[in-house]
Order: sequence, then C-alpha cells, then structure tokens
Amino acid sequence: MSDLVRSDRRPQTAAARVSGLTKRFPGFQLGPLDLVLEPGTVLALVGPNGAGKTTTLNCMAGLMVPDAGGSEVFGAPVDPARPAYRRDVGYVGEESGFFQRWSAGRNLAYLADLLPGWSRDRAQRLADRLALPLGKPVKDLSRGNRTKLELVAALAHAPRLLLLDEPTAGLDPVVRSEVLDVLWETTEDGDHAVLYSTHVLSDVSRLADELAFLSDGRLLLRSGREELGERWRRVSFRLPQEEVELHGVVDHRRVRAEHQVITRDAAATLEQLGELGAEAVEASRMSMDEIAVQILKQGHGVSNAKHDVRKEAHHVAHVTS
Amino acid sequence: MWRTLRAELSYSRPWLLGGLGVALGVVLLVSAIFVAIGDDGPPREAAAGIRAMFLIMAPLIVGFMVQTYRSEERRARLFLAGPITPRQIAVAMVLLPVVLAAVGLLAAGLDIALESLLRGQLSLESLQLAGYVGGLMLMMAMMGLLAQEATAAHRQRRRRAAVAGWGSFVLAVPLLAAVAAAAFVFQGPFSWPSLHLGNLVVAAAAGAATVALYTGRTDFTR
Repeated sequence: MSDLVRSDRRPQTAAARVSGLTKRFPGFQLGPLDLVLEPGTVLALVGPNGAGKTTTLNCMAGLMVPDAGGSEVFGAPVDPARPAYRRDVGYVGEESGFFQRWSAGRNLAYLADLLPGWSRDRAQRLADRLALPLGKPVKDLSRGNRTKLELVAALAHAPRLLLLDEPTAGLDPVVRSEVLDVLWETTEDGDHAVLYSTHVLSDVSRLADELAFLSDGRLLLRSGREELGERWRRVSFRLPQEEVELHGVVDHRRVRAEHQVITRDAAATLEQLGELGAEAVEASRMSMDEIAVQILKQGHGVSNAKHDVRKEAHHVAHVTS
Repeated sequence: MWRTLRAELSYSRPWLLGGLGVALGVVLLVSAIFVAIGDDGPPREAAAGIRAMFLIMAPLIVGFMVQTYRSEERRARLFLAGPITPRQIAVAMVLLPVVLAAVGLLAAGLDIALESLLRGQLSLESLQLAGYVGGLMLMMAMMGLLAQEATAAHRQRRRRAAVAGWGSFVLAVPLLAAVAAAAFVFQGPFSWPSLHLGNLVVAAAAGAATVALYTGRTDFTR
C-alpha cells in the first residue's frame, strides 16, 4: 500500500481539493477527509453503503455545509453563498430536484437559462445520443431515463469537474453501458476531472484511473487501478511450517501443508516464499471486486481497532492456521 | 432570485388557473344564492366576504401546493446547480405567497368593484374584509414557511436557530390574538387598520425569519 492518501500533494491547479472535511451526523462522522483531484483524473470513490460517499460528494457540490474543513473547485471555495465554483461543477446525484410535472425538455430549457456556458446544441446532441424522450414529464420517466436526463443536465454546460454519485446504480445493462459510453467519451479528452462514487466495481475498470476506498467515513487507501491489480494476488503454495510470517498477507488459509494467501504486496510475498523454499507456488490475479472487498474488510478491522491503515502499509502480517 | 420565482410561478400556473376557476364558480354560486334570498337575508358584506375569502384562498392554497412540491421534489438541488445563493432561494420562497396573495386580492378587488358598479355604491366594509382575509391567509402561509424552516433547523441540529424559529412562531400567536381582541373590543376607526397591520407585521417578521433560517441551512439536499 504505497499509494496512500496523498494529502501532501498540492498542485497549483487542482480540479478539486478537499481539506480536513468533516461532517457529523448522529452515530456517524465523515472525515476529517483530505483529497486532491487533478485535472484529467477519474477517481472512483469506493465503499459500502453508509461509508460517506454521498456526503462527500454533497459537501463538494455545496449541497451540504461541512462542520469543519472544506473544499475548493479549481481554486474557488465551495460555499453555497458564493456560487462561482458551480460553473465548473456537473453533478449527478440520487435526486436532482427537477420539476417533475414539466417535461425533460422544459427542465433542460430552464437550466439553459440558469447556467452560464450552457450549450443547447450540446444538450440536444447528448439527448439524441442517449435517446432521451424530451417531451415526457420527468415524473413519467423510467429510472434509466432520469439518469440520462441528469447526465445531460450535468454535462451541457461543459463543467471541468464531474461529481457522480452512483450514476449507474439500479440501471439495466443496456442503459448502464450507454451512460458509461457517454462518460468515457466525456473524460477521453483528459481535461475533465471526475469523482465517481460507486459500489459497482465493474464500472471502475472501464472508467477510473484511480480508486479511493472509503469506509466508516474514513479514507482507507487511494491507489492507481493498474497498480492495485498488479500488487494484489491470490497465492497458493506448499510449505510444511504450521506458522509463518509473510509480508503483505491479509488473509491466510491452510489445510495441512497446502497454503492459500491473499497478499497486497505480491512481489514481497513471492520473494519471501522463494527464500522459505515454498513449493508449487502459484499466483493468480484478483478481480477488482475481490480486491475491494479485502481492502474494505481490512479497513473496517483497522477502523475498529483505532489504527490507521496508512501505518499498516508495510506491516508484516502474522498469521497462523 | 427572479428566475427562481418565475419558474415556480410558471410551474404553478395550471393549478392557479384551476383554483381561480373553482373560486369563480363559488363566487357565482354564492352570488346566485344571495340574489335568491334577497334583502331579507344576511347583509351584502357577508356575501362579499365569502366571495373574497374563496378568491383569495384559491391562489394561496396553490402556494401551499407549490411549497409541498418544492420540498418533495428537492427543488433546492436544482436551483443550487446554478448561480443562485440560498438567500435568493429563500427570498423567492417567501415572495411566492406574497405574489399569490396579491393575485387573490386583485381578484377579490375586481369582484367588489363589479358589485359596486352593479349596485352603484362602493362598500368599504367589503374591501376591509377582503383585505383582512388576504392578510390573515398571507400571514398563515408565512407562518407555515417559518415552521418548516424551524423544523429543518432542528433536524440539522442547529439548536439556536430552531429555538429562535419556534420561539418566533409561538410569540406571533399571542401577538395576533391581542391585536384581534383589541380591535374587536375597542371598535373604532383604528380597528381595521390595526388588524391589517397586525397581520402584515407578523407576516413580514415570519418571512424575514424564514429567509434567515434558510440561509443558515447546513443541508440543502432535503
């Protein structure tokens, strides 16, 4: 876990910068959270329900006022009373606030008058591309079409930062694919920064460059997607010892001399196994789902023990059968 | 702020037209009943009062509906996508019932003017009654908004704001009761003006408190 929460990075023109963001609810606290999102980055915010993903995005969009800390969008403070930052933000959330009895088209026309930089052409192109029925009242739109409408509304003013709160949740595979296509095309130019909360890990492999894992309101880990895939491995081997200490191992099962481990530092684990003389060593890649489950499980345990996962990065896992 | 207000008025137009249509039907019915009863029935001010009440009530009921839909449909999320501040949203929210009350008062005024033309005599008492009904209903609409914001403050654990909101609400009730009682006990040239003033002062205070409480919100997602 070398790529940890990079709160010390301070580029000149961060697309979004979250500093010490804290929001308290009865029985739950988000943060203090530090996060920097650079232009051209697609960061997936991964975590179970109730981890604080939506609260994070709501605070970054200015829909919630944090109890402490705050955030900036391209240098402009996120403050509901100073709405300059909103020019650069496109937000897709669970609920969008549309006039339900108005048609989708009329809602978009209202936004066109409201938002500087709105392009009617772009909105029309996106609506056509997504086959959005513009004449239908919003209240009669299906879940998929509502998401499409939100996406058109979020993209038509060409924001440089997209905040997407589980945009594909509950969508059928066809609509999901269409939505992901549009997002992928939007981010392709490398100018957009995207913070994308999800627990559908298959979306992550398509869009995200980096993943940030959130659990119990705390950021456990931030890492590049490719790097995660390279470092995490399931390794099976034969070794007669009953007890063995292995670098990077987070899960260890043993039946007699047959061992199976999950490691977050494949290179170190394999090197050590070589030194120990392990036989029949086989390492296999893990899916992003499996990796996420392991990270969140570890994070949860660490969180309960009041430890910081960052300090655990080079911890030597002590496992017994 | 005006774009917000215009959008909400535009959104409420079908209900407003429907409501005014129903009120107009009631006005015609009440007029027909009073004509049928003739001079032996209640005084013409009573008929004018009933008609005014319906004409003013119709748009303000629409105002309550818009308020409900605004909250249910999480409208703030849409407004906060654009360059609108919470204070502007709050002012538009408070101005909506004022505009709708003005529509109702205008309709009631037209009704009284028409009746005066037909009878050849202006009834000041009818005008005062219509004004009172309008002021009372506007004040109730404002108190509704204040109660909503005091509840939101409580939910968001802004305790001082919640106490201030509910405190204003509780204080307004005895104040209005005292004004109304004084106006009826000490009948005279100041009775109607003091009743109007009482309603308007409480409505304005509730509106100002609503704007202050909304601006201090820490959560605009609900």
